[in-house]
Amino acid sequence: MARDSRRAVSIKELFVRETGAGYKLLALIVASCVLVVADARTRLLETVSVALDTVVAPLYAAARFPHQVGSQVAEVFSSRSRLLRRNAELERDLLKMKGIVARYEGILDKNERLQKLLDASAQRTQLRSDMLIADVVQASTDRLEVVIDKGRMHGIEVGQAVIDSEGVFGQVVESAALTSRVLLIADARHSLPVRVLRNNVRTIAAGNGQDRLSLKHVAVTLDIVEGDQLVTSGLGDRFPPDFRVGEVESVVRDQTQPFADIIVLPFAELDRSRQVLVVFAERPEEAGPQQAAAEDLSATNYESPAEAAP
Amino acid sequence: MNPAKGGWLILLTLIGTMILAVAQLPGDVPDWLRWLRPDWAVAVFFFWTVAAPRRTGMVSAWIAGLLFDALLGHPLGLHGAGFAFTTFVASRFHERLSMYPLAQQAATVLAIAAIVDLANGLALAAIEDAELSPLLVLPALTTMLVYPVLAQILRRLADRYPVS
Repeated sequence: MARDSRRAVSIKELFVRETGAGYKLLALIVASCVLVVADARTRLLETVSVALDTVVAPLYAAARFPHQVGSQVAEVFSSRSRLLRRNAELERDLLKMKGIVARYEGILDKNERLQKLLDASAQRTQLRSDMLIADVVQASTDRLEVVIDKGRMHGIEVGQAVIDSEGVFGQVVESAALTSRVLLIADARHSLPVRVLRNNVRTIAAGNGQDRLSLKHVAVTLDIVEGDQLVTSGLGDRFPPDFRVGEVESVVRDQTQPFADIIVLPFAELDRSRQVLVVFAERPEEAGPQQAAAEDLSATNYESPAEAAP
Repeated sequence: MNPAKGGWLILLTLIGTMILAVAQLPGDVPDWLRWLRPDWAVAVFFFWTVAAPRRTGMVSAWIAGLLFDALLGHPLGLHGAGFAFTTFVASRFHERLSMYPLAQQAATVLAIAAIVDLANGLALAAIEDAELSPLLVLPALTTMLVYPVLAQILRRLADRYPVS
């Protein structure tokens, strides 16, 4: 009897460590679940995640090293004739762009004069904006968010609009010291106020979680057809107005449903862009510090000195 | 961890896996290639736990998971559970696993990585309406393929700079 109980004790001791480890694992998994829900659904952990982002920021630089070396090696070994050809191409593009910008400036001036006549001064200030070039340093496979290499030290704040060379790209949802996180417009959590260029119909474009946007709550009777171009409407004060968003790809009207099913193909190259522009919407009192902080403000500064002075 | 006894080597390899987790390949690579990125961290945690079960712990693996979350932009806590699970399985069976040939260890890594990837994918799908793609388990396969090479390299390192 006594021998049996001693044996039972020794077997119990044998398993004690293992069951302890199991409980520990369970506790850690529960802690993970709590943290994940808290981080995804609330803003309680924002300071923690910003601090962690700052800690890991140098790793992005190391991670980009092979890519940078690769492109530099390619530059060194590309032939002279190819470089000359590329240079000529770029010069031609630049000339074309200059022509477009000159025309754009003219239209902008004309527009402002007309708006002054209409006394719509509130809208006028929104037209011109500064931009900051940023590199995409991290894009994940399973969610529509990217990390860019500019952060709070470059003047970036949560809520700023991000565009690429083709159209609206996303918005800043978190900014650490040296990096920021950008939520893409195709993410299911993202909505964007837009207007149809053809007839000024206003609506909301929400991401579908893959690579398209869908227009929300559009009545079946509303005049939107395939091929319509969408631009930001500027409502909601997040995105400045009149940036290109996308093109209506398909419209399905089911008369038994109250709303039409409209899919939009975004212009922005959400899965390919390596460089993006962060838009600083113009607010007169902030124009000064922003320009001082951002050393590589792009040349897209349309602000004339006369306007900057209040 | 006591750095004097080789803990620094584990830390260094961990930093290496963090860099590999976000490394960009030279040149413009096709988009689908990113689905093939191995779960380097799972492989490395597995190796160190089997090779030196006293030098790794579930809690430190979980804390390392937080850094991976920050790095990859996932909700905090997501990777911690997977890493803790990897460490748990590897330390629970480390006597047996250390006797296994590399191919068999790699098969175990495949199973662990597949479970971790699937759990992470399900958690993200539940919390963020993210898309649950069948390609999700591809990283587990590539992890299995790189594991024997990785294990050889880490073993050489561990021979030169003893970890105990």
